Amino acid sequence: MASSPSKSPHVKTFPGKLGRPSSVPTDLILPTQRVKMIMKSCPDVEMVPQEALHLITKATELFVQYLAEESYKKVASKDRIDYDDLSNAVHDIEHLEFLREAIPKKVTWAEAQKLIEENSNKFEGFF
Amino acid sequence: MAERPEDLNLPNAVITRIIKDTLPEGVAVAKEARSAIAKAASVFVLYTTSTANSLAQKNKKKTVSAQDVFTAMKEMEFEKFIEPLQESLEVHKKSQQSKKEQKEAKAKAKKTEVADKNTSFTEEGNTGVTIMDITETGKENGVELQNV
Repeated sequence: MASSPSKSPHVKTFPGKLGRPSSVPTDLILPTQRVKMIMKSCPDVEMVPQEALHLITKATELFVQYLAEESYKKVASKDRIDYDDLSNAVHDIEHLEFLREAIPKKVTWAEAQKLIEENSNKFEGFF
Repeated sequence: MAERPEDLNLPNAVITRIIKDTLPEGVAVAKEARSAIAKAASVFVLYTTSTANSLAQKNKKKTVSAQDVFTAMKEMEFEKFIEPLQESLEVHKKSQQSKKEQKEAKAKAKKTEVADKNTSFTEEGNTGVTIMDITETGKENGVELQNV
């Protein structure tokens, strides 16, 4: 329905308002806005440049893959990954040290009690 | 700024998708393991950001450059991420470029369109009215259908 010939190329190239605003492909699946928010929660970080945001988002995706692969190497049953597989990977691999506090090894209540007893003198001041 | 603590979590659904795509088919991942991996991913973002940021500060820069992120990966012993990251950055740059070009072309097209309208307004009537006509007809149809 090109009313005037000069308009037709424009109509062809751009589908208009109904077309998605960005048909440009991106290779990210994690939301960059969320990653940006986490980055900004870091002290001393005010500005987050586009390139750094893209790279860190992509790195995080690669990191999730890596963690899944490493945990899978630890599994006993080969068809299921449990928390313990992940925490074993985190505690065995040296450069994952930064995760050890966030992903602690689980201990049983009996083990915990034993630990408390062993360290009871350290806690004396608290009770 | 993050207003609620949940704002610092990454969406579980996306994390689960990445995990599923990585592992062989049929491997189940316990919910606890999934949320722990999501938590680990947030910690990773923080750790990378602060490592890259201190590298930038060392170079007396206020913002983190792509190179700072690559160096941070090396420092954190994630060298194997550097190559795929470089590739991804190239893709990103290209898509940014074409986005920019699209925008410029769009702006240009708009300009010509406006110019077109100004010149053809008196001769040909206008397309704006045609569009309104279509909507009107659509509305009428809707009403008719409801009446039936």
